[in-house]
Amino acid sequence: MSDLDAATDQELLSAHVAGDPAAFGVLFARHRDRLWAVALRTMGNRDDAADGLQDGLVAAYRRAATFRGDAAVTTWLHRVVVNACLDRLRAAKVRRADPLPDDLEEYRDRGAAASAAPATEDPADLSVRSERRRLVLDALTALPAEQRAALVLVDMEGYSVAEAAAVLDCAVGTVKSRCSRGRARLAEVLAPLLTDTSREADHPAAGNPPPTRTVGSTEAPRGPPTPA
Amino acid sequence: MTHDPDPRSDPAPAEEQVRRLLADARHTEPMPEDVVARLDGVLADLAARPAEEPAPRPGRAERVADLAAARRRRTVRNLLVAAAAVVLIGVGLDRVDLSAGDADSATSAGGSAESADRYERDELNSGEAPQGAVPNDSDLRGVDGALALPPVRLSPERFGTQVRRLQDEARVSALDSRSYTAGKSDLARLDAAACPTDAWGSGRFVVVRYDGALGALVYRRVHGDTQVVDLFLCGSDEPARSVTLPVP
Repeated sequence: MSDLDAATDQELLSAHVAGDPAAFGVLFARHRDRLWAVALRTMGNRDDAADGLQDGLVAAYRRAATFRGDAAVTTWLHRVVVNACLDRLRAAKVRRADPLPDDLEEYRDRGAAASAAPATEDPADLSVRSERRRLVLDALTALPAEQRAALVLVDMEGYSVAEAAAVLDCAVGTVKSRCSRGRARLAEVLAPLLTDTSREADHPAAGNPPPTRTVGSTEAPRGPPTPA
Repeated sequence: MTHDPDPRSDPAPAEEQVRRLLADARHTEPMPEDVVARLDGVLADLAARPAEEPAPRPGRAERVADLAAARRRRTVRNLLVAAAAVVLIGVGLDRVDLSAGDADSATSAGGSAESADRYERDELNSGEAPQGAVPNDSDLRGVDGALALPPVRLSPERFGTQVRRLQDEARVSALDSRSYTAGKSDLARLDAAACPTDAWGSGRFVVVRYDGALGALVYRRVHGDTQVVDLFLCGSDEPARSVTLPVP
């Protein structure tokens, strides 16, 4: 293992700024899958995600010396990439002919880890999952870019609200508001996929009703004939 | 003081279900190999240009030396490009295909020769080009009627790599300020093919076929050490793709 592989993110960035030609590549390789996931979900399709990620990569490489160290390096990397993606979306310089994310079908056939579902999953269940994901991603793509980015970071990537605020370079309350409004909008669009828990509370429980108490006979019990 | 609830901690039932749906739709696959290769290429480009590395600023003498070295590199590159152009004309083939091959040819003469080898006669008209209103490549003649250089073929999957390669190769060499008017002949070719370009803005134009559709790459004016390249397709005023490149 080389020294660079053992270095922390901060050390790699410092080495890059000091002129190490390999340091930034190691840093980027370390985080690229997660950056890719964020870019893909923010942009909505793989071509635009690749373009946005390249913008962010070039910007991060060039601006590494401006990193102030007031956040984690990975947070800063995400910030640069997300901003590059949002800049593209805001400038409307993205392809809109095919608004549906196109990665689901494409990745299904790639590699041994292609499907997140277990190999033994029922094909019907797999189809339902795939269709549900498609609907969710379709609805996500229709959200305003800022709301989408907040939801991608918080609900998809699992960042805390504070971390997402650092990535998006805005107030924590702004992230909360964007998440809340985005989820509310998604709840409307995805209503057919949601279970109506409030209505279920008024309904009887599923299955057979519990047995009622047996009613006793008013006649004398029948017994064996008594001998005369 | 009112407490603003954290949306992660106390969501409404519907909101919680939405969160679960979003979590289930999280992308868990690694970055695709073609994107890895593309971005690794960009990183290699960036790392191969020591004069532009974010290292401490050099002194005046070093800057002069760097500028001289850059000028020499440009001169060599332009000579190679000119030589490659002569080879292309000499061969007399009429199709360029950048959609094949993975290796970056960079700025070497070998790379340009590779491009020459990838010329493919009549392949564009063999079925990829849409029929009907889409301009035919045979319409892409210069304003004087001379046979113009045919469109470069780009594929959606390898767009970034191909655009970067084109930046280095003959088609968009010498990206100085004069080049931004030098693409007018390509503009005229598109206009002749009933493909209006008025709304595409200024830049160095390179006629391309992208996924079978005719259009142009527009290499914008360099800002700082980066350059934006937009892809426009005939019939649309919005860029179909856009990418940022480090400047050679």
